[in-house]
Order: sequence, then structure tokens, then C-alpha cells
Amino acid sequence: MRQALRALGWATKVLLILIIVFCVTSVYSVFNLRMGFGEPQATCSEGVLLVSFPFFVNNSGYYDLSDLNLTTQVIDYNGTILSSSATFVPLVTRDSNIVTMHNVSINLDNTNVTRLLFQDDNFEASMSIAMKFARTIPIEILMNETIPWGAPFYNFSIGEITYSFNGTHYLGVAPISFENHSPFSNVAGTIQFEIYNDKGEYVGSSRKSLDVPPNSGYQDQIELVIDDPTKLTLSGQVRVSFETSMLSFGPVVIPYG
Amino acid sequence: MARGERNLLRSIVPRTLKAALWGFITFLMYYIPYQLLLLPALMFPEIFPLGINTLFNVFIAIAIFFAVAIQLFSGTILQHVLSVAKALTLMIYFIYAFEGGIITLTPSFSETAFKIVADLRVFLAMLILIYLLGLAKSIIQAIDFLASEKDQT
Repeated sequence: MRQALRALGWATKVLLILIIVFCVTSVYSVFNLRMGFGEPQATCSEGVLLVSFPFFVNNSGYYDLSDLNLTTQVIDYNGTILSSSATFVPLVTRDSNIVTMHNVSINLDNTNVTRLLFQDDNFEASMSIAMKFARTIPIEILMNETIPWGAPFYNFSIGEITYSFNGTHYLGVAPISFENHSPFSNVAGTIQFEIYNDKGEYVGSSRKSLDVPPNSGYQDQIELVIDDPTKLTLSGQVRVSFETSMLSFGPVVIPYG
Repeated sequence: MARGERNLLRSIVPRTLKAALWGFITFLMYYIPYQLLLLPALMFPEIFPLGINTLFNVFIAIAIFFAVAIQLFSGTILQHVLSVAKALTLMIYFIYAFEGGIITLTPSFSETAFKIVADLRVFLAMLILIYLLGLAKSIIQAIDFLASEKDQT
């Protein structure tokens, strides 16, 4: 009986010491753990916008981190998932650093792009970092943020088209205006207009270079060369296309008349 | 004062003083390390919930109460009964404090909604194991006490 009591006493003491040591070293390790994102890089090819975030983990604690899983999801105004990405790091040993790229890709199909370019919106971005601390304690960090989106062609409008003859060509002059609500990027590139009459026949076209700084408005007139004035009708449609070094979209159809 | 009363006082006063001293030692033994453990929580009130301080205080209160009570009834069967009660109470306390092993923190240090979920079931199991060992020890001590009482009679 006495020996059993002594054994139980020792077992309790050893377990208690182990727990205390684990607690203290865990707290120390957590305070010496650094995680974060570097400067993102964006590329666009074949209709897919790819934003790469360098994700770094600096583990100077006493314990390994295993099964580190970083997932991000971007959801638009009506709950459609625009992007869902995951990055898995099997092991971050103690006293080590890792840097891995977390790629967020958004499919820029025409519906998406048109909405993103012309309407301000709010995105719901959610991120989750799941890992196993000391290979035994699962921890998950969840973040949700609403990201306001400023449309670069907000309130894009084409005014009434007026026609004239300059001696050699028939010209159509259309006032255009929009506001660049994007907080970061210039609207820089070429905008192309094509006029079609009410029968859908090609009437004329024009191109113009733009460079509109962020958070500023744009108002100008565009001169369209009319190839065949006999096809001109009082109403029809203008097809607008836009091209930059990174992406091209269009045509967006805007009725006139 | 009757002789019987004097004998009773003689046995109760030292026992009470010993229990009070033991209670004070327990207070120091738990309060200082727990305050040190609480420092991160006090430094980052936006991360740790306010209730954490109350939980620590409840733990210290339980520890002191049982330390005093066990000393007060030392040498009787009640000492072992209280030891069993202490182990059971602390097991229930830890299950409650650790929210069943899965702790959820919702820090509010920015406009971003944060949530940290930690699955501490392994850690909680280790803590419960300690108190289960303590429980087993107290039961064996109670049996041993009763056996030795019977031997004396």
C-alpha cells in the first residue's frame, strides 16, 4: 500500500513538472513565432489574374510546426467564390525560416471583369491558417475582412454623339466620362470605340490612349471616323474595348440614341 | 473552564493556526506564478478574454479552500474525503476553464474579424490524468487510514 502511494505521488509530480515545463516553453515559443506576408506580385495571363503573396514563417521557438495549411477565399457581393487557394507546408522545424508563395488566382471572365471595372463593390476575404503546434496541439487562426473595391471605370458614360464633315471624312464626336475609383492603379492603356447602327452594321471606330490617375475623374471627347455615312442611324450601339499591358477586355455594349 | 474544553482548545488552536499558515503558503505558491502566467493576458487584453482573470482567481480560491480544509481535518478520514473532493472539483474546473479542450479566442485589435481556435484536448487530458492520479492516491490513503484505524481498535 505504501509503495503504491509513493509510486502515485512520484507519477503525479513527474507529470506536473512535465506540464509546467511544456507550458512555459510553449508560451516562450509562441512569442518567438513570426508569420506574415511580403510584397504581393500580380501577373495576368490567359484571362487569369494571379496574385502571389510571399508567406514567411520564422520559428525560433522550441517546438516544430507541422501540417501548416494556409487557405484564402475571396467572395463577391452575391456570395460567389471568386477565388479559393491553399498552400500546404508539411513541417517548419524549430529554429528555421521558410518562405513559400501563396498564389491567389481570379478567373477574369467577361462577366467578372465588366462588373469589376464598372461598379464599386465589397469583397469578403477570408483566410485561415491551420497548423499543429509541437505536433500535438492543433491551432487554427481565422480572419475575415471586407475589402472595398473601387471600380476604375466607375460611372462610365457616353454622351450624345454629334456628327460633322471635315472635308474628307464624316466624323462623330462623343463625349465620354468616368471616375477612376481604384485607390492604387492608374487607368493606363488604349480604349477602342466601334459604332454599330440599329441593324447591327458597322459604322465607324476610333482609338484613344488614356492615363487616368487613381481617385480622379476623366472627361473628354472622342472622335469617331465614320466609314459609311449612309449607314448612320439615330440609335444603335457603341462597343467599347480596353487594352493594357496586363489585360484586355471588351467589347462592352452601350446603346446610344 | 472545564478540562475537556481546555483539551479541545489545545487541539483546535494549533490546528487552525497550521491551516491558516498552510492557506497563506498555498496563496503565495499559486498566486505569484499565476500572476506571472497572467502577464501576457494583461499585456494583450485585446487578445485574451477578460474572464481569464476571474478563472485564475477561482482556481486560487479552490486551492486555498481545500488546503485550509485538509489541514484543519488532518489526521481524520475527512482529510482524505476532502482530498478526493479537491481532485474532483479541480477536474471539473479545468474542463470548464478549457471549454472542453477547444478554446476559442476572438481578439479585437483591428477592424478585421479574428478568431483563434486551439484544440488543447491533449493538454487537458494530461491535466485530468494528474488529478486522476491524485484521486487514486487519496482513495488509497483513505483505505489505508481506515485499515490502520481498524488495526488499532
